[in-house]
Amino acid sequence: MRAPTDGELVVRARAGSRDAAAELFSRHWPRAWRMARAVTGRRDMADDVAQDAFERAFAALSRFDERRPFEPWLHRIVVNRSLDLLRSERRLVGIEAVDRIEGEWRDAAAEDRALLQAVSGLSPQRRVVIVLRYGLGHTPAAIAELLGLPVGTIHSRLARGLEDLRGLEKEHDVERA
Amino acid sequence: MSSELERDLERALGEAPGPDPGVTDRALRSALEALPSPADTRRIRRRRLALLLAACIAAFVSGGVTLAATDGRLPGIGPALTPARPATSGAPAHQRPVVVAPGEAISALIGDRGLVVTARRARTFTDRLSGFASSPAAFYAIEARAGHLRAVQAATGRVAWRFRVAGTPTDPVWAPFPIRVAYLLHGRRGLEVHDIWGNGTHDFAVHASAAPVAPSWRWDSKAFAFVRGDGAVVVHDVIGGRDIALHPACGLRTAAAVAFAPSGGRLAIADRHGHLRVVDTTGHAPALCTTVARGLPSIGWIGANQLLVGAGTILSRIVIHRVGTGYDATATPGTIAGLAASPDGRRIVLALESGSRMRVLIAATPRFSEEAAPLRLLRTLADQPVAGRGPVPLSWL
Repeated sequence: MRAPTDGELVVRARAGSRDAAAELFSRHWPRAWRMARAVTGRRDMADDVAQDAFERAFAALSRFDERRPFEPWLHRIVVNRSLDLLRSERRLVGIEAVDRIEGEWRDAAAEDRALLQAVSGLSPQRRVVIVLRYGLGHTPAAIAELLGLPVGTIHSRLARGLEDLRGLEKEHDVERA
Repeated sequence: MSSELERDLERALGEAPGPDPGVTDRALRSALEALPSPADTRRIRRRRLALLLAACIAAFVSGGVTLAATDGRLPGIGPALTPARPATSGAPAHQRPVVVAPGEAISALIGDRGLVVTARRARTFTDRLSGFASSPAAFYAIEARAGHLRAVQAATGRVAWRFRVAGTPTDPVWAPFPIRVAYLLHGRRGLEVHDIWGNGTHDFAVHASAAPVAPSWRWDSKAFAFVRGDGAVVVHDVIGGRDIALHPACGLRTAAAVAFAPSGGRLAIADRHGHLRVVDTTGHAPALCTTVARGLPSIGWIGANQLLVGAGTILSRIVIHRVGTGYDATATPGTIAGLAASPDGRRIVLALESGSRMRVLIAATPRFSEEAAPLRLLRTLADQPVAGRGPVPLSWL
């Protein structure tokens, strides 16, 4: 039997089916959470961001056009909420350089920690694009649509993000040596 | 062609640890709760249709009225030919009383709804709140609900942060420098006092046994007072983490309200039996004892030397002189359930319970020249059926 599409689940959830809504949640929660984690660099913040994004998305289901893909819409909410919370943290506690966040990746595999930490060290704009491209596998065109930016800007941010990561890796190697 | 770095990124980000199952369950529950009911969805669609219809009718009617008024001629567009006359009705701006001055904010929890009133707008916050408070100047408001605390931008309602708690938080109070929030938590172990940073991180359990009395911050935001489960008042130093319990005095054993003065170190403590004690926590002045009306007390300071205490239907004013105190009182048209004074002391906000109604109103601070002087009402903020017994948390920052 064919699994229902996201659009069908949205229609059923809107009609009051909690099962359909739960199915939609289980399909998209892990990736949305991972994205929030990678953008914020923090597990506790990812919990709140992803939960809040789903609350907002579900509360706005009646306004969602089910002919459009659900995931990019959700991911856009996650990106915006992550950046909002990082900004608000800077404003509230006066963190000088929230652009370069200190990721908490102690629970990641040992060989990946340095790279994940380096991703956290990127500027938010580049970090978001890198996470969407390599963490979630979105194409540059899809990222451009999701973020409402020209494709050229996405390519440029990707290239600069990778360049930054190579630089940070080199710094890390020098420190280790 | 993908580089080694790109492959490493795909692996590292793709295989990064996932969410905890407990978090997933909670998120699913809250997401399902946020789902609008089918009736809501139908209502939204109907409302949209009705709005569209109303807009069409309004355009049709206003067009018709305009044409009728201009004798079938289309109205001109551009500057008016006759100079506009100044408005003559109403009091001149300089004579109108300022109810809420720019930069000030009143916040209240009325029933289970939050209310923030500034010079420009009044905004209500979603229902089912167990606690509510606005930050100074109403940049943020903190909403307490079973299971979490949430800070929202007061102007837009956008969530700034959210913090999960194991229980129901109540009585959040923002420090004058909005870097911390003190609150009470009704958890499995009873009522606790907590202190959390203004960005929703670094939550500290200050004391494991508290009385249901809203904490009060000292002007410098370095300490706050709360009432312990046994009724004793404790001043908690948030910098050093030290607790100083005040010894009982003035016949006051179980405090029902505490309030720090807006400057200096004076702390007013009142109980339900009409005992009032003012302690200088800096130790520079001896403690004062006096009595006010009996009932659940609410305290509001006017500067550092004058305080108002509302209990029952009596509003008392205590003036602290260099030697001794002055006292006078006036009656209010209802039982006082909450009280706060404006920063300049000229206006007060009162929650008055009368019959089955709860009114929250702004009044000019009474002159106290005669008993039962009528309150000069400036504005009614709420008038609704009484929802639950107990104090109405009010603040005017």
